[in-house]
Amino acid sequence: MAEYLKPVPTPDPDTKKFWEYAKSHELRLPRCTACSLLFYPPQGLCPRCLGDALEWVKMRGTGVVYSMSVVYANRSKGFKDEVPYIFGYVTLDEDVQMLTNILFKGDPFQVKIGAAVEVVFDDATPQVTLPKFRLRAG
Amino acid sequence: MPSLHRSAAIVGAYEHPTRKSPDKSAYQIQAEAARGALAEAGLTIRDVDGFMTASRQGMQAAEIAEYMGLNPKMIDGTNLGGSSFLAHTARAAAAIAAGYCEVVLITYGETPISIGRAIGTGGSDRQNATPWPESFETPYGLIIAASYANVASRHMYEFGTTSEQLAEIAVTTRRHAGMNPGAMFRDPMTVADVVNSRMIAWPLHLLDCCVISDGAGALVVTSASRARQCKTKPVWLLGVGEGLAHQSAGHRDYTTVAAAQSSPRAFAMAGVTHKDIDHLMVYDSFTITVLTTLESLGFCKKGEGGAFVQGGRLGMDGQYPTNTDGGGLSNNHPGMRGIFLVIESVKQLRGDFAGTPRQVKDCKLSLCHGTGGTLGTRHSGVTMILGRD
Repeated sequence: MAEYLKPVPTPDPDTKKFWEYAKSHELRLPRCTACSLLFYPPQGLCPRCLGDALEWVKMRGTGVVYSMSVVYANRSKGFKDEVPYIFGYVTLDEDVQMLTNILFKGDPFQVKIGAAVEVVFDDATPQVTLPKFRLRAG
Repeated sequence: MPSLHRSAAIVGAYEHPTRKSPDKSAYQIQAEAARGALAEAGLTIRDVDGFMTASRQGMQAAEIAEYMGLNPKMIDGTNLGGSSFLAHTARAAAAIAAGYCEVVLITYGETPISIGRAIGTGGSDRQNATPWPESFETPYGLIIAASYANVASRHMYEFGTTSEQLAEIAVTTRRHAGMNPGAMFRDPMTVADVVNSRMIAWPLHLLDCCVISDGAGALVVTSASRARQCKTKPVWLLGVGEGLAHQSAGHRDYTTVAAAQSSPRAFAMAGVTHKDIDHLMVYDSFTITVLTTLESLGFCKKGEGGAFVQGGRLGMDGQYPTNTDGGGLSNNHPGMRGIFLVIESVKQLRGDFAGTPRQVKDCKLSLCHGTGGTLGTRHSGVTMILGRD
């Protein structure tokens, strides 16, 4: 298997649970039990009320494209041969945005803002799995 | 509460002429810019008792102070990205008003061309992303241009803004660069040139992106009484405001930028309205930066930026001559360009270009707005309103 040259996430106390769930192909996001904010990226306490009692809520894994860029130039060694790729924000059905990749085959412009997407899990390395998205069928 | 309104003046503003500096370090061109800014004010490096610059690494501000032989009473290495130097100017005024120091030197210099550093399309070669928030960004291929492109695509989706409207900004700015003998790119270009240029990160083309240059600049800020003893005409700080926009934990409106926070603060302190502004300097890392900033500053309604920038409104004969030095899009952009915005505002207010096409007629009030960081993920915004006697 080709060497993985892209940057790899580093789990830490703020984010370990998120990456563990991702590795088992579950998309779970933290929600503050005090003020009920559902948030992304994950962190150890609530960025609205600073409460630290969080619950990990399983997402349906579906949403719509909020914004996107089709990237044609990235000089880093991990991405330079990968262009074009889509780097964009998806709004999950649970109403929280995630910065992600939207995967496609062929023409990147099949993907449009507002299009329905679903999560897919990219087992990037034996240690880390990245949640990404693709167009929902039908 | 005491206000910074008219509390301090900019008495030195110097843009280093270099755009490519293989034979001089970033520290040297920065020190040369300092020399230039002090000289025009009739000051020397020995008069400086406060020093500010934007540190890219830890104690870089101390290194640059050492390079210039400074032992300042006050030192500030705050890095907010490209807007840093506008924030420095305000903080210099605050420090002067508080009696910390009296003559503050602000410098900036970088040489990305000469050291071969990619900026907007650089991506990250660091294999292990830092845990938070980078682990949620660079593994997905974050580059600066793509972050801005997300704001552009969303603006197009919500408001019907077009690539041609964005291109109009680049075309106008290039026309201004034609009046600046030092600008990196001066040949006129058309909307067609922009929209037919190579795609970098859709919907942004190559000519929607700022240039990459080497460069340096310096400012000198001092008290009202000391300003009266300087050789230059003082340019007064009338109003300033800061703001910060980020991903808001996954709940952000990406077409509203930090200028929406900083602008009302700056206008309130200055006691003026948008219609009073004669000249604009708006950070132009990308064309979309200008369009969203103009909206969030309040020069037009949100969503109307596309129409607003058309018809020459930002040109020399328009309602708001903007980025009259040729901006980051055509003049220079070593990475954090905010200092050059302030320098051009100061020069226009002093009438430095009198008798040439570059001079904005009867320029009494200039607004400059710096954006630092990336528009999509997180960025600072600093709005400053400057005036003459």
